[in-house]
Amino acid sequence: MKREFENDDEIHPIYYVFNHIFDPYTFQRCSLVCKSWKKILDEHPFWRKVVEDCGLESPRPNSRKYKTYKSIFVKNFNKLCPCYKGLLKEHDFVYAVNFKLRILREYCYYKLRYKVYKDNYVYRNLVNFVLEKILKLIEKSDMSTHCIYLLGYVRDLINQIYKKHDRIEKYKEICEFVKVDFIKVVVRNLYRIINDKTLYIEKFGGYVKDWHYKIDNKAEYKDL
Amino acid sequence: MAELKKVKLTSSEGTEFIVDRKVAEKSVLLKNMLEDVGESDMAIPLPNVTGPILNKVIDYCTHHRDDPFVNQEDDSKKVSDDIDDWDAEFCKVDQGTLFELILSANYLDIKPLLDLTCKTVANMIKGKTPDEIRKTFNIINDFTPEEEEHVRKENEWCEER
Repeated sequence: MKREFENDDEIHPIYYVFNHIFDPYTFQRCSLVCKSWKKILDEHPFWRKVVEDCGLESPRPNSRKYKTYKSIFVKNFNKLCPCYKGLLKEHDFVYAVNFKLRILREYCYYKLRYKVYKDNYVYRNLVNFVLEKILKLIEKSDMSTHCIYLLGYVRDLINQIYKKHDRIEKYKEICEFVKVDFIKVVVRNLYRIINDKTLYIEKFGGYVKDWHYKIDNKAEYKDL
Repeated sequence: MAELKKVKLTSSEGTEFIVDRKVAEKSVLLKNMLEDVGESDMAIPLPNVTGPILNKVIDYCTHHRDDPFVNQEDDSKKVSDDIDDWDAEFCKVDQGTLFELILSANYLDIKPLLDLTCKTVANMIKGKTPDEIRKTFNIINDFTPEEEEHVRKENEWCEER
């Protein structure tokens, strides 16, 4: 019954097992188990998914150091943790986050105003629900985990909403929005929000640079 | 009462199994094959699945024969919890069998079985040190001390704080 999984043509079962783990620590620990596990885990699509979710640049084959998705993730890893930078202790940061989330919300409402998607309460509730959740998670002062978990959580949340509504014919448009716009725009900009970087919304004039916010939370922005 | 349609399956050693068509159709691979072939008494050969594993797979499919079809792209349930009692008991097998079940579930395209077996192994891995994982799965550490040190250094970025 026992079989050695050393044939290169055969996919090792552990490859499928790791499709169920979204945690770089476990990947790191398990790469120390043996050489074959290390090879499987270093090349696992997990790294590609996480790099894409974070909106990081893809690896370049000609690059000397950063040829793989894992190497790109490792390079940016510390930037993914707000606790590491002590940003959460600064009130300004929460206001900045709040402000940037408002820009994302504006973008979503903009799609409604221009009738790109049909205006209805499910659409608005969806936008508000996810963005409120993100803000609450970031505001939590005891958040001690890397943002990779936050990204995973938000993606799962959006996916769950997508699955729930996908089964109902009249919500097809919303599902299209969730699939095409929402995941891309919100999840990718989460990395930018956490790292205090300029937002990038492709269909919304590209870089949202020219903005400023006030401590009293009456944020203003221009040229959107 | 209408007679249930039966399907013949042959394992890698040539052992023949006769199952209800509804049970066989839990496998997307078999479902597609049966649709393509139509009515036939010919046994379907499964060269990648051994008899004991096929027996276990049939047990699983028989128990879950009335479960609703799971969307292939539904990945919202990938978290490793929510394993019901029957499924947990089903997975109480040696690791070799569990790994064979993963490969067979993937080959036969039975997503719920693949998810279940992967979740079970994932739960055996989570929170364990590399040494504990080696002991659990009887894996020999084939890194030289220098190589191990190198991998540790490579992984320093991810030291838990």
